[in-house]
Amino acid sequence: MKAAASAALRAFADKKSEIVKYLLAFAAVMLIGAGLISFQGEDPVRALSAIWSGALGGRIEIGNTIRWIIPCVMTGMAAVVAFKSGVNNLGIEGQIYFGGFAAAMAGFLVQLPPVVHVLFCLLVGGLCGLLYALIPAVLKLFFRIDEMITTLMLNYIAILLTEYFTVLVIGASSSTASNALQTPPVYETAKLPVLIKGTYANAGIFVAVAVVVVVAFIYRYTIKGYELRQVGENLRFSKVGGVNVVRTFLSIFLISGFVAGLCGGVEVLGSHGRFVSRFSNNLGWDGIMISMIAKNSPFGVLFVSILWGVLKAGALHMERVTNTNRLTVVLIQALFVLFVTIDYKKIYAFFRGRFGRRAVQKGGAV
Amino acid sequence: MLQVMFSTVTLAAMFRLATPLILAAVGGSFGDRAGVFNIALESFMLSAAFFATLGSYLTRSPYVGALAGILTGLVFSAVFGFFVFHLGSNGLVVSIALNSGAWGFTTLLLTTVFGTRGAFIDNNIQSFPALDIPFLRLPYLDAVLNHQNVLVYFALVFVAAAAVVMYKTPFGLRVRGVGINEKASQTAGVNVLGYRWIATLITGVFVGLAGAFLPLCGVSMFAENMSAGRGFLAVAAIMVGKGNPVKVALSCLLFAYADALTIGFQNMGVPSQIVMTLPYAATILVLFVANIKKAKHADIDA
Amino acid sequence: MKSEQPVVLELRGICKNFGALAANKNIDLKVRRGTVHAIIGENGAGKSTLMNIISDIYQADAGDILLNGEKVVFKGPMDACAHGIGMVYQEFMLFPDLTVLDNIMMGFEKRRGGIFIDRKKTRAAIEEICRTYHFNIPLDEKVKGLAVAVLQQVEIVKVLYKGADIIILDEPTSVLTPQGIEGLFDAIRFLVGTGKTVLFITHKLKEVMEISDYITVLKNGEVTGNVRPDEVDEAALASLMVGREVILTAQKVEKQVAAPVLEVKGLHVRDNDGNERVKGVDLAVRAGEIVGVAGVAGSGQKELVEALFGLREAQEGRVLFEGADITSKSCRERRCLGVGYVPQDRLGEGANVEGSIWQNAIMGYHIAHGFKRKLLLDRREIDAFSGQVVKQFAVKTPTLETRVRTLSGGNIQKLIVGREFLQKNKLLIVEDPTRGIDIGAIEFIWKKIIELASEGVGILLVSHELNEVMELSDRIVVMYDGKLFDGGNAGELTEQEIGLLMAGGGTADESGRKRGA
Repeated sequence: MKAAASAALRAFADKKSEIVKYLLAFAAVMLIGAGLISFQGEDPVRALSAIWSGALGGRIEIGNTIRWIIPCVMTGMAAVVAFKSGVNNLGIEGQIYFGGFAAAMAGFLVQLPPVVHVLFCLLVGGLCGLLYALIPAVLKLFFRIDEMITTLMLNYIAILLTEYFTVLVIGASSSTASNALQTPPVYETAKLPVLIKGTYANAGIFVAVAVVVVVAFIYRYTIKGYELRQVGENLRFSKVGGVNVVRTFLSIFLISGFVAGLCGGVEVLGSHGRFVSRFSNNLGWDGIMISMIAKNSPFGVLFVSILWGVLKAGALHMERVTNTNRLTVVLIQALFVLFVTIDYKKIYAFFRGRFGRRAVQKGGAV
Repeated sequence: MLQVMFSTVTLAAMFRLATPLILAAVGGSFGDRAGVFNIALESFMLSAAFFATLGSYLTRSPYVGALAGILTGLVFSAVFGFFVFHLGSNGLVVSIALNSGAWGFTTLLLTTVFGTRGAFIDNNIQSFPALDIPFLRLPYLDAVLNHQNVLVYFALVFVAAAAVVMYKTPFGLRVRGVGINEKASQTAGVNVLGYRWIATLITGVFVGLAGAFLPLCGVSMFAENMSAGRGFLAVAAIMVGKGNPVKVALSCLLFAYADALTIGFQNMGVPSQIVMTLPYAATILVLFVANIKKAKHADIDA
Repeated sequence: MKSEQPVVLELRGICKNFGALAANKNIDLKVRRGTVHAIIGENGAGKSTLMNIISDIYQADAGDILLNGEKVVFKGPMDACAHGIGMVYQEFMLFPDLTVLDNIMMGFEKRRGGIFIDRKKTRAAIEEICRTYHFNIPLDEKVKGLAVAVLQQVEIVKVLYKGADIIILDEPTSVLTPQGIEGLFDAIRFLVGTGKTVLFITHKLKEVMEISDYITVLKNGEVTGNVRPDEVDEAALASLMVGREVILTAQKVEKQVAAPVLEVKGLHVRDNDGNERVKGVDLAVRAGEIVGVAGVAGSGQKELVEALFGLREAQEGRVLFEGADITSKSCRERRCLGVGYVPQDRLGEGANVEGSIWQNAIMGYHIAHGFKRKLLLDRREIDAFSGQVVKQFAVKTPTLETRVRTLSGGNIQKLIVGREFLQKNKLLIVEDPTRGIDIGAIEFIWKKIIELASEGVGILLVSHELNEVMELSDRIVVMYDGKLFDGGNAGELTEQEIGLLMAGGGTADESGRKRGA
């Protein structure tokens, strides 16, 4: 009884220090963010309230915030799946492009009944993202090439290749002007229904939430999820324990790619209605940052994505009504990641240990 | 096709394009050898490129620009080091945050300082001068190696210097030791943290210089996201060359060669998007070739 | 006489606490110049802490260190080193990818022109030391791939190069063959003969009796005895160390040995670098039998075990389990058939320290013996099995949700052993099951191994503790350079004879003694 109570107390202390950590990070970011805004000659409070009203001030604003929450959740989940199991998939951006392009193709080349068409396009998008993730997965598993570098390189290749494919599709003679290349629009049957009229908030949010729920369920309640987690925490241990590491690793990579491809599909079918070259604009990196702030927790991703969506949607409004550049928000997001990574416990221990004793360099006797 | 592959234009472009890669990758080799995981080179480079532009714009001197670039690299690597070494942050996460932040940071500055988006071109931005080296006035070499930018020659000298420092000085030995076995270095009286810090700052200085090269190599302009993955290419070169300055520089030349081919191929009518994938595809290919032998006997532990 | 030698190092009232744990309590120690002074004690007795205080890796909470009668306060490990205190760690502090020369000079390079390494001068200095103290080490070879005995010599030359006067050897014999140990002892005697002082830390009583001039016994962080080897015997030392009369012996039971569960025929295995490490091994383990594999670390045991468990590809040869060929089967398939494995690397392979007790307890079980539900986790079954492991193997933990990181080494090992032993396997591959854990846990695990064999499980015990192999095994094989040699049934060969096999079958001893040339 007593033992259980003390364990519960420790767990609570752990949780509490986590909360303190986020609060500290948030405070630090707000402070620096305020500095950044004042530097641009604007009152931080005014800028913040502009973000707030721009993101949540009304029906339209909320709709546009939802529009941004969707891809944040999905890329965030693509990152969670990968990073939780120790796969450094930095290629989410590239997988989004391939997924998005494939979904657009399926959307305007194929004619199907209403609901079936959307689902078909999403599936094609997901599968193409998956196939694109297969390349680094194979290179890693059979040739031991670090996936970080290959996925990074594949991002650049994906942007260029999808752009080239777009040129092929529209048969443009002007392959030089690359800024506004886009495919013809998809059929109405392939579009994700709009939820709030006059905005881009679309049914993609349900896809996103479904992904969160499914992934969370897998981790918490299934044997496969148990294995996925063990592989991420100690690969050799899992291998010795009989987990088929190669297959697990491959499936993680593919699922992550699938989710990223799905995100590309949702973006194309929900917000753009067609494939626009270079549309993603770092969504993949947003996802990776979100998963890092959320510490690879699926529901955490949901929360952080809301914050991200608010910042993204509110930034434009802030730029319009104040003298603050909307890119300030990008900086604030990066700072948030930076401050969440800080090991506050270590710093606390360091300052406590400073008085009298030198830092201990070797672990205690066994 | 062959004409393009061996034309003097291509080879001259190779040396020019290799310069930022070599500076960044060989400088980054010190950090790598000291066991510091850092893929934030991209952010160092991009930010340095901006401040180098600013420095050159304000003073009309490419050297002040270079100094500004170096200082930027130094500051960014110091931030990186502070978070990773003292605040217990993970190097990958810090790298990702910095890389994302650097894009916002430079573009924000581009709009606030120069009041423009996309690219900034101005006559005040002065590039490095080209050098005419008399003993290079030989038939083929003249077109390839002569009349290059000062930094191109500097980069080649730097490779040799870095190799000497790495293998012939106590500093290099200790940096390598720190990367191989941290505990053993400690017992040998090597200040592990100190060497990691110095190695990280060296990385920052030379990546900063590499960044300064981008706007000041002749184009005299700054463009949004100007580094375009060169920082990542440098990291790949470090991986291929295993932190050995000479091997790292050779991989850089290889990547740069793939990049140089784009100019010729584009003129031949190959679609620009396809041609532009060459350096990235080459990187994957080189890693692939470098790993084939290793993969053979490998115990698959992913 | 040696007792007239002056005291070179003296400790007065050294105390050191780690949190609530008192690792050293009021320790006094006098070490005389030119002697071998042994510090003995169990794991956790505070030996290593004390040595780390002498070499200033830790700072004492209280107490003084006196060198040649004068009180000193070191400003760090390097300052201790400058005062002539050199430490050879149990876990070698070497750089595998660098040459022996670079390893030795690291941090103490002689310079040319103030900037460059003067390898010539450094080499001359090191060669001089090797000549003086009769060491013969290859200076230009990479450390990676050298025999353990040679590595130890490199470590000793390293501290001599740094000017050590007092040399601390932390458990130096644990990695050596009996012949290698003789070589080390020759070296120690020579060093002491030239006026150096050696502090020798160990828990092996026989060696203490052989080599030391003075013995200090530690128990629970306190000095429980200061004796000379001619005043005591091993049993008396043991009781000073443990507080009761314990010399570990295993109680064996009579049993029937049945058909072989494991047969290995002509097995060849390569390591990651492509070198052949297992060179044609034949082996059989029968149900109910404990087969012990002795050998010096790095003789190919790791690769053999990995190939037997499906973690590494076999180049040639066959592995049979109950008569069926399993050579190309995966780990997972082998586990399903009934093969269990206790790996040597407890924290790297045996456990996931970030995970909870139950997450560690069901690993392997969840595949092989498992749960009724194949898709979803069943908390009732999980708690039942994990609870059984915790209870039957006396794992001290508050709850099943506790993180493994918080457990002691002995408890983690009991958790791992329990998990593998309770899975109703037919064959168990057990690698160094008692390394670095306290005596109580060792006794417990030994008992469980013997119990398991008596229930008809075949056990392949691979251990670097010769004592463990000799105590537990029904049959002994010795691994040397990738090949197995017959060590007879239990008790047939003496420790010396097996030691000879470990060093290469009694032929020229390449790895053990290169010195004195």
